[in-house]
Amino acid sequence: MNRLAFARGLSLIVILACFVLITLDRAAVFGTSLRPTTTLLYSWTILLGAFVLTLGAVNVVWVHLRHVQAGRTGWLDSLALLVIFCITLVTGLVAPNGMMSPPMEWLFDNVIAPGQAALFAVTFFFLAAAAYRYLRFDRPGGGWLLIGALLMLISQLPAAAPVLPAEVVATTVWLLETPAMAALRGVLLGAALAAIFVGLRTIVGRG
Amino acid sequence: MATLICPHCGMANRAGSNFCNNCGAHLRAEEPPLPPDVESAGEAHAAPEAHHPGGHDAPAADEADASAEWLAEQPWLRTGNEDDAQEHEEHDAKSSLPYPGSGRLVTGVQGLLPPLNLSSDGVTASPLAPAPSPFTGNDADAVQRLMGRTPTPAAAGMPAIPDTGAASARKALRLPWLFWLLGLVLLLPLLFRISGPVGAPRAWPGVTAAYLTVEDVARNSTVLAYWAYDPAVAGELDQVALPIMRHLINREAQIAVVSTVPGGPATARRVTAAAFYGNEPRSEGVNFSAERLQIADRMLLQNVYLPGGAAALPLVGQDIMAAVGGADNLSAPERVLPAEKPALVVLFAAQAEDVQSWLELVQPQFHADVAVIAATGAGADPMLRPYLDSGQLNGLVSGFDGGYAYADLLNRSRLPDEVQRLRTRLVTQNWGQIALLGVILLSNLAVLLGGRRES
Repeated sequence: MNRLAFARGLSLIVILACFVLITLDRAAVFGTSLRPTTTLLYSWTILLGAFVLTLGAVNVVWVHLRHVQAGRTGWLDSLALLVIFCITLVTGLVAPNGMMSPPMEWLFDNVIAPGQAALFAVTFFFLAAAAYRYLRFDRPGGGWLLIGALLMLISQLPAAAPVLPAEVVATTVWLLETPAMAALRGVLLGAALAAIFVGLRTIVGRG
Repeated sequence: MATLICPHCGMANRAGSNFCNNCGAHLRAEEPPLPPDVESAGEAHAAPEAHHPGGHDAPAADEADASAEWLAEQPWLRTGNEDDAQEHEEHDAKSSLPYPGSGRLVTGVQGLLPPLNLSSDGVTASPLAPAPSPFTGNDADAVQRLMGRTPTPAAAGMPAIPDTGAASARKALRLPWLFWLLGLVLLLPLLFRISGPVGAPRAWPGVTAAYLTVEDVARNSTVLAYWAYDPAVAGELDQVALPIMRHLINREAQIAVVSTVPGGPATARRVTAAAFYGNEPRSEGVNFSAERLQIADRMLLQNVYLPGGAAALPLVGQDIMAAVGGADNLSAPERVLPAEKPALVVLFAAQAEDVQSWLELVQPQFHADVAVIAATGAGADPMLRPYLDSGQLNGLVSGFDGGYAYADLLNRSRLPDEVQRLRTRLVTQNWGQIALLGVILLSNLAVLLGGRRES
């Protein structure tokens, strides 16, 4: 048995054991006697998550360190990332209150929060570009899509609320709650079935 | 590093991949047996050229080089599939099947659809050519139109589709000026303090139910808040979370926060402080003072980040003490998180998936004893309506409209500066939506004037 097959077999056994344990616990086959074991398993998940997060940070540092060392395209951006990483790490470690120390709060309020918000705000332009390209009546089914989008946009426009006929709003709500919801329930059901199949494939080692 | 070119879209995928990373098409049925000298990862640098059936896709080869370089930097990301003989035996057995992937239990894109093969008639099958397409002639044209783009003739033997002008028309889209125009329209009301139009957001179903659910919670009860958003979406979500947090503070609720996003606890502290002091987070460029944040810390029973994402959530329902690392609150040691179930769960989440994860992984462990309401972004609203209608959610407050309606229900007379901020926000929202409407109208006008070139 080669090393890869052994690793696959081992991980398959672990997955199967966890699956059986948690299923038995959820079904309360043995009352609550399995509860401490499943609680321990879930706690390990959190530990594993923390470890993965650390590993991700180390990986990012490693990759960008190599970029700087090799002087590849965009090495200056990599250097900026490394410098900011070091500043944040050292500040968090050295400050007496850790994450709740004033320098970290300042970094959060003035660097992290505005940076993340600015990046997310670009979504509006992506949305506009997508609307420009695809909300067109000459595309197959585009007319229906266009009518739906226009109805939703207009009925959610605050300025239109006082003057919009009640029938338009009622139509929008009907569209949202009847055909759209039927389709979404189909999607949810389909996604759940797909998740079951993917889970089964993983459990039997075919994922 | 050997790569596998998708016959559908031309994307270079890592050897051994089952599906295309770009379009999701099935790759294994078309994969030729790889010679052992190409499989070796150690030869990645010696033979960086992509394994390409057509041999005319230079960008794909560049991608393959980049991929090889990337894997060379991070060797721990290799899957080991490259030298797995068993996989090739399986491939050989599958390649004789009449239709790509027909021998599998789950096939195609996300296991839901069979892969579309958009090759035309009359293509001579070769070891590298894709399997015969189920779509021919007009059917293939219809599918191509449905997909909204011209497929890349990447596979060998697939005839190039003549350029009918559609691609060049798409290139001619003048999006940069559109972006400039949109930005200008959004800035107009802010720069020139334009005061209208204002109007009022519409209250969607679910807000009143959420309000009444919070109102029904007994004073001093424990409320568990699942905080699944960070500053990226705080511009919208803070408007939803603030009135609910104000309501909870008015009800003297004992709030414990758990979060699965790293920026969640810090955001929760700021919203709590803002709800307590009646201002808004990050308003007018004023940061929170350390004193205010400390008071927020003392107001919250717990405020913890759970690494592990949704996988860590079941522990919250099963044993909250184990999830938050014990009942100790470093900021307020005298305040202890009770071990029993909370009276109410409030889900502050930007995405529908976070609410769904909670409802599927945690809520069943609380049974029907614990009410749950969701405060989400407007984009998540349609996905969560089925849960509200089925009773799995007791209330749903979504988007700026929901937050506005919830604040109205609180019967809280708004301060003058708050009214002014709200007015500015409404005006900006109106201008943004009108700009979007204008873009859609312009797009359709362009189709009318341009002779429907985009079909």
